[in-house]
Amino acid sequence: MNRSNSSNLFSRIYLFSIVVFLYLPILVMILMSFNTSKFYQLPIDWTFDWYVELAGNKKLLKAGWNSLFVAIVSTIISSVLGTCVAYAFFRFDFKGKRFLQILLLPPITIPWLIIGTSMLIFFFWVGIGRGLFPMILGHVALSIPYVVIVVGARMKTFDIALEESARSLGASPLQAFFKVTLPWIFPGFFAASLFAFAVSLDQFVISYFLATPGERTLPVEIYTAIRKGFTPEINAISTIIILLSMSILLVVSRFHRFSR
Amino acid sequence: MAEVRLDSVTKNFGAFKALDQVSIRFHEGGFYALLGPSGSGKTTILRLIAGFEEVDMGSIYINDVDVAGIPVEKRKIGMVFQNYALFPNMSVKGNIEFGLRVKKMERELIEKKVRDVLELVQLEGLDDRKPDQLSGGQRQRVALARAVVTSPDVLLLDEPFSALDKALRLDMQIELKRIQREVGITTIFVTHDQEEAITLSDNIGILDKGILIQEGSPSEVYEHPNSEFIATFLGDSNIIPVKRYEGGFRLSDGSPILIDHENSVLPDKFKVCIRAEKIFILEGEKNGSEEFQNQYDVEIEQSFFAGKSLTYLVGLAGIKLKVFQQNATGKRHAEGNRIKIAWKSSDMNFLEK
Repeated sequence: MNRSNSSNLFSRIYLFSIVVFLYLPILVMILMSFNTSKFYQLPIDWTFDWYVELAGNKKLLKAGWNSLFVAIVSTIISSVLGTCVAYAFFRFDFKGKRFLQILLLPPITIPWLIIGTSMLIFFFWVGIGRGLFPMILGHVALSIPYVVIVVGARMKTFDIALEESARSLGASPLQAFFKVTLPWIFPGFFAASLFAFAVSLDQFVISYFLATPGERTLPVEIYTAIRKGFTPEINAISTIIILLSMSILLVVSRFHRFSR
Repeated sequence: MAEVRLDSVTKNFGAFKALDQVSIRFHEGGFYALLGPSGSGKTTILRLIAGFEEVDMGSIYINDVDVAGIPVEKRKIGMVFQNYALFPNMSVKGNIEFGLRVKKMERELIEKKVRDVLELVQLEGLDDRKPDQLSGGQRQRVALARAVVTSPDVLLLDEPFSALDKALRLDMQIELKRIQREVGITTIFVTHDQEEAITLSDNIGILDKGILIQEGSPSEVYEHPNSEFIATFLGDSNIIPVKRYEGGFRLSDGSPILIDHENSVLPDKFKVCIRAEKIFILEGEKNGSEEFQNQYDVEIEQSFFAGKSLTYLVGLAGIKLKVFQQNATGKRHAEGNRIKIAWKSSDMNFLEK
């Protein structure tokens, strides 16, 4: 009884620390976006001023939209492409497969600074240059390894006989994939998409290198803004982003049960 | 329904020769068992017929049509996989109607066919269950129903009983035989279990290392094995080396043996086989019977008691012969005893290989 109590206490403390260290800063930020004081003075004097101000801050708003645009487009591309790659690795044997599989890992370990620099140099060299689309390209390249690994892990649990039995029942390879294989790997595909979305939304270094003064993503814009001086509008837009991504997660998880 | 024919089919996987010039005719409506140890090529035959692999040489005909280049989904096959491969995201009904829905069949017709096949495999009322809510036997019934509901030309079964425990296996074998008779579909059945092959099929083909060694009805193959491989693979056989000697034949220790065969076609040195259950122990009034042309006095080296039967290992001409005896009297010959064993010449088989 005593022991279970103490372990219970330990897990409570553990949980509590997670909440404190992970979510408290976020909560503070959200609260401060509603505080009149620019300098985090307490008690909170409730206001929507910063949101009103934000609505007028075209630069920050545009950067927010840019971020979402880049994240959504690069997520779609990388999750579809990455799933194709994971499927090909699982289903087919071809020359150089092992090599390609090994080639997937370094981008995860190479510092972003180096990847960003080389991308910048390469994009200039081939004439792609900087801007939102080069940024999407960069984010896709960055998140594909994650997608391949996450979808590939799920793919490994798939029994090829399922696809073969669909074929034996008259389904074309494409039908078999969409009716049998895809439903099976969907949890992996979904998780991988979230991953890719997070990687893109979070990305600062590569975006910073590939941004132009007119086209920045939110992290780049916030960084630039902070260098000039912090304004609570940043809290406001961050709050919006957090609520947005949370509600996306909520909606999607309601429609697709994660477990099974 | 259809006839399936393999015409000197060869298949290699890299350096491994999976099938070497195999020709088999699977009769319309027949139940054919492909039997052999693992790696013998039996599953490869099934996968070639299904279209999951393509032949390297030779041809496969379904209904007299060469199926080379025809994809799996157009071959009109039904297949039951080793672990059933039921779609886990679909209910029993969803699994069964899958093949009908891809064919874009009308809704009412699908409903009717699903109802009929559920009745055939005796799974009425389980329509909405998911595969993981079914027992092993029920899963197999679903797999079978799913494979036959599309009225395929040929039914392919890949070791369908290997995932079932022994008691359930016998029930399902009887069930499969009943369903196969009712549907009347050409069935090709892969197994490594000789008993299963003998009881279920009306024709057996035995493969070893990619070569079709022998085929025929179960009793033909069992009673007249043509090679040492089949004699020992099917049932319990004793292999006896024989030499020609002054117009007759003798064992290696010189004792005579009467062979029921045209002398001229036999070589000077060869092997014969005799089934363990066809060697009799002569005792009491049977002693000295003229019925058995070959009689030997032997010593019992080992004896085994297995309830309904007794097995003796006796020494003859430097080899150990296995002898089965029904446990009719409850008496068992002791090890070291001398007994008289005998068999008919007609029960022996000359082994070509």
